[in-house]
Amino acid sequence: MNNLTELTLSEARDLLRAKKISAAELTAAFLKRIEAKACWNAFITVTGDLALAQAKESDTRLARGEIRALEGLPIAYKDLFCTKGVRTTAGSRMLESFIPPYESGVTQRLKDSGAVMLGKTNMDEFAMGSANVNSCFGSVINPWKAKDNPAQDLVPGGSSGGSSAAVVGRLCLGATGSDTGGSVRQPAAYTGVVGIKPTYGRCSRWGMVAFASSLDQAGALAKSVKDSAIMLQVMSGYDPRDSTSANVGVPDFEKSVGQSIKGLKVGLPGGDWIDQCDDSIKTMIGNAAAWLKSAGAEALDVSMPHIKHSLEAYYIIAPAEASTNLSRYDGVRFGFRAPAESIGEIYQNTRREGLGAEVRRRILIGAYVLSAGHIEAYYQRAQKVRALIKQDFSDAFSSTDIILMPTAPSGAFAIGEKQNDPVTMYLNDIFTVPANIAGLPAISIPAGVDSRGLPLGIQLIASSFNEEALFKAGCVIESSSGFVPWREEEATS
Amino acid sequence: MKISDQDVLKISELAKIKILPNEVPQIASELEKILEFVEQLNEIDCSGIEPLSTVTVAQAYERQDVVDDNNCLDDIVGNAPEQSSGMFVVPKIVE
Amino acid sequence: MSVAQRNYTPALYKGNWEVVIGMEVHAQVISQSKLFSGASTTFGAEPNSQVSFVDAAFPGMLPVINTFCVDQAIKTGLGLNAEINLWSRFDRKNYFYPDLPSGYQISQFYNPIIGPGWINVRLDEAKVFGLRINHIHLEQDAGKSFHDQHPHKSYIDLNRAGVALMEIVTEPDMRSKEEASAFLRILRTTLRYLGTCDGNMEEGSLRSDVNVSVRRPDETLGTRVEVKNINSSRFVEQAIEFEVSRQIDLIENGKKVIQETRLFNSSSGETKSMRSKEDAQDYRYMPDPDLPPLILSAERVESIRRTLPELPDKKLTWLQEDYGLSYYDAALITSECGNAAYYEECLAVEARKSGNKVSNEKAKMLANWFTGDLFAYLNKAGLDLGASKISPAYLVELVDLVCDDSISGKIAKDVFDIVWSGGESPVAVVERQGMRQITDSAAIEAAISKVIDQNQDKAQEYRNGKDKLFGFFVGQVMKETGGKANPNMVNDILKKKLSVDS
Repeated sequence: MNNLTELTLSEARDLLRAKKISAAELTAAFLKRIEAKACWNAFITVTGDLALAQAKESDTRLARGEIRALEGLPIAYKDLFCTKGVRTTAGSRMLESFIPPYESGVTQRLKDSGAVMLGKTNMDEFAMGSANVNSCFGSVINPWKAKDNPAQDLVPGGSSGGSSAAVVGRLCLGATGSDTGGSVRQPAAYTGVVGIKPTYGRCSRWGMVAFASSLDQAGALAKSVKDSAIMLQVMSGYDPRDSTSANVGVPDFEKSVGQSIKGLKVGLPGGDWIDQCDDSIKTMIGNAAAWLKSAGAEALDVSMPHIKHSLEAYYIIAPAEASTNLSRYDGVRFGFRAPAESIGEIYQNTRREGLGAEVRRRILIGAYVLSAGHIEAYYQRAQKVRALIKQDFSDAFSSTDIILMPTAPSGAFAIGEKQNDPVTMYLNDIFTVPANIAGLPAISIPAGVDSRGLPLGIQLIASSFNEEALFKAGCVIESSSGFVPWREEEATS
Repeated sequence: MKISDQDVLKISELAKIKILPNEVPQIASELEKILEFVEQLNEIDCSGIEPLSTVTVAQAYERQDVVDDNNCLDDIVGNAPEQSSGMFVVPKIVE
Repeated sequence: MSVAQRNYTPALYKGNWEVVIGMEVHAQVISQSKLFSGASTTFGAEPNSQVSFVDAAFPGMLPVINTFCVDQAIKTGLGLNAEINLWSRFDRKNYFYPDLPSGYQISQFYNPIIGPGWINVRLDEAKVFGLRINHIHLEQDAGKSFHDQHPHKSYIDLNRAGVALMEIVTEPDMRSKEEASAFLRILRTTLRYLGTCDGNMEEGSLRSDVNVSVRRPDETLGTRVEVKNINSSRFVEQAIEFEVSRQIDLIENGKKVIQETRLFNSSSGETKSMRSKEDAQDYRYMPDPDLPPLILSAERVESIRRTLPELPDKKLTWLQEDYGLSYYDAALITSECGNAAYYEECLAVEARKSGNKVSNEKAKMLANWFTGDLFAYLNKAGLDLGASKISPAYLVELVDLVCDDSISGKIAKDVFDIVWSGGESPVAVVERQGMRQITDSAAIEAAISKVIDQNQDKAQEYRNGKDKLFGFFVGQVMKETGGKANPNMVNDILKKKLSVDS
């Protein structure tokens, strides 16, 4: 093979099993490209030696026929999945030198299925951000360039921006991400890859550095719908160490790929909410609905009066949970400690110096909305709205199977843009947060480009534990669009 | 909601994040903008609605009462910024 | 059993002040592992050796509830006549302290597992009052800070962090320090009966926060002051005593009591201000998103109800009513579940032997031997009842030997001593050492005749009216019979023999 990095995960899997290529050469090819593309800053830590050792072991197993689901396939982990003995930073100075003595539930499953870990990908600090400009290890650069300004560096989306850039930039076959308000789907859309966030409770949160516990869910970023199904298959499953993990069976996701969607009911939520999007996005939604219809689906309008308020509820609930989840970063037991004379100063200085501006801002907002005199007006009200949003979805799913929406209101923007005002930045998450608020599975599929030639994503949301519907319908959009962004990206960058 | 300098200092103390006096106005204005944004929720009639704090379908799994996660002293203090005789060390706490 | 009405009027303090007391008692749950992790709860281990990554709040670590701790809370609730909430939830109480690793304590603020209940508190034989429990919730303990290891540093040990506590919150139903300490005693006893808390004060298994206020009778409640973290009933009394006079002094001098939290200093017996209401911490309680609601089935509660032991108040009643024990004896026997179990085993052995209900007389004798002699021996040897060298069966055997006149009460003390040191049964000791009482009247008469013969002069003096000499003759006869003569027979025969001229 000439360029091993151009393979999809499923293609590479087939070639490995056919013994046409070896895991060692595949791994070496990716490591080489990671080095060559260090300018994108997609990785915080590259674990080359470990990867090659794992690949070697996989080759032995492949030779013996002891083949596991992801045997010998090089992938990358977002740096908020704790990896035993390998530094895990969550993109924060606070954990700059933290070496977890344990392996997260999700990465343990990947490891046990034979996946080769190439390294840990860059991310917005503690997964807070929509552009991957909030990492203490520097911003990630989107491999895509706009036609009208090829010299300008664009954001890869966030917070799983290292993972999205690495997948589209062919630095790995697939990557894990985490999605609290869109952190898998939105960067997937900005870089032109597939990003799936499963149902809340589908993947274990054990060992995944927490941002907002009731919203956080692991997800996968991959080059194709099929690849994302293969990865999610391995990542999913009950874990009694996470009390919110769902003890439900995991269907064979890969089987859904390519299945007919005849009779599938697709809901289109309308309103001024979606009308504000770029025209190219509105056009693309129309295209996607048409593609699905021509594949046998029915499209119908659904009324969801409260979901446009998801973002407001989210920017209360997520900071509130984050403010308490991040209290453990106090400079006492692990991580960064600022020098100080008293315990009070250790707290104050460690958290000031160890946490970045956006993380500090969200902790402050979170403390405010939970504080005496404000908790009813903000936190409890947001939770009531959360109940209404969940009800909107339940109502919608009584007549539809999936809901079709944009993933993000625009394509990727330039690094430095939208950074003056936090609320402007938050608006990037407007279409992704509803699925987190309601705990539903959602997928972003690249479906075309905007006027600047940058990829755009279509989002599908299904009812709880119905990821299969997303994979089925996702395949239709993928094949109908004829858009293979991770190949086209090379032409622009 | 108007955020006063006093509010900023209060939440800085609650969150244990040091804020310098000259940073207070800027932070107050940022927080105010965010609060103004989220206050759009006030348009919604929430009367009679129960707050929803989790979307998990899981019923709490209850572990058996067995000791199965113990004696990893080296790992527990291994990442500590300061430790002595197996204990975490901080400047003297004055009560 | 039902909740008692206070059957007495509590005395007013300094003549005209009513004292109002409520308590929050933190009881450490008996369990092998912690509330949310698999680390051990054993007391006194090497620092940080009983800490899991969950307890130390490492990144990405999550709590998973211990089913046994939940059962223990339910059992405690049932034992305190409380409502069990089938739906409860855990909340985070947020504050920073080095011994609180996650920066929040997992507790139950909005929806505790146990609702309102009550317990009857007895001060003595005559005085009883019913105390209402507001609720009980489960929560984590914090770690321990050591301030004496280094001149400028504090050291943190997290072994205790995450151990399960039950916080038992009462209504302000107590009216004196005596009532407060009586409540704490009966609570401790009850928890020990239930097996849900060992009540070990030295190890901090039972710690109390006491809310104290004073008012004129029939006025609305006064401003209350919370005194935190007191670890014995004696200190609870001291803290209340100090607070009550401090508050009355303030008011009588025209000043106001301010609502605040105070700390008790056990060496001075004084309380000092820790923080006022204005500086009260804002704990920002919120439901813990890592833990789904705790949902209990009615069957689970019922199956725990079936395991409930009989509680001390009930035992106290039937020991007095059915066996005629004094309040004092019954209270002593029921004050520890081990004592009650021992004594009840004595009653059971005796009932089996005789085939009848144990008589009040025998029950009383058993109680005397148990709370008198056995307790004295245990005390002297520094042993717990569990390590007693005299089993209930032996104690019954000994009492039976006295009752059927095989040995006298005095010989019984010797037998007791020999059984204690040798482990032989009382019957075996009596037989081997020939200690059986002489009840043969001929033998006793012979001994008496011999003594009178040898003391003709004294016998004459007795007959002349010197009654006190009777004791001398009893002593001599007992000496002659090696202490084995039946004392009643000796009395009777001696009286006859001395009265007739020989």
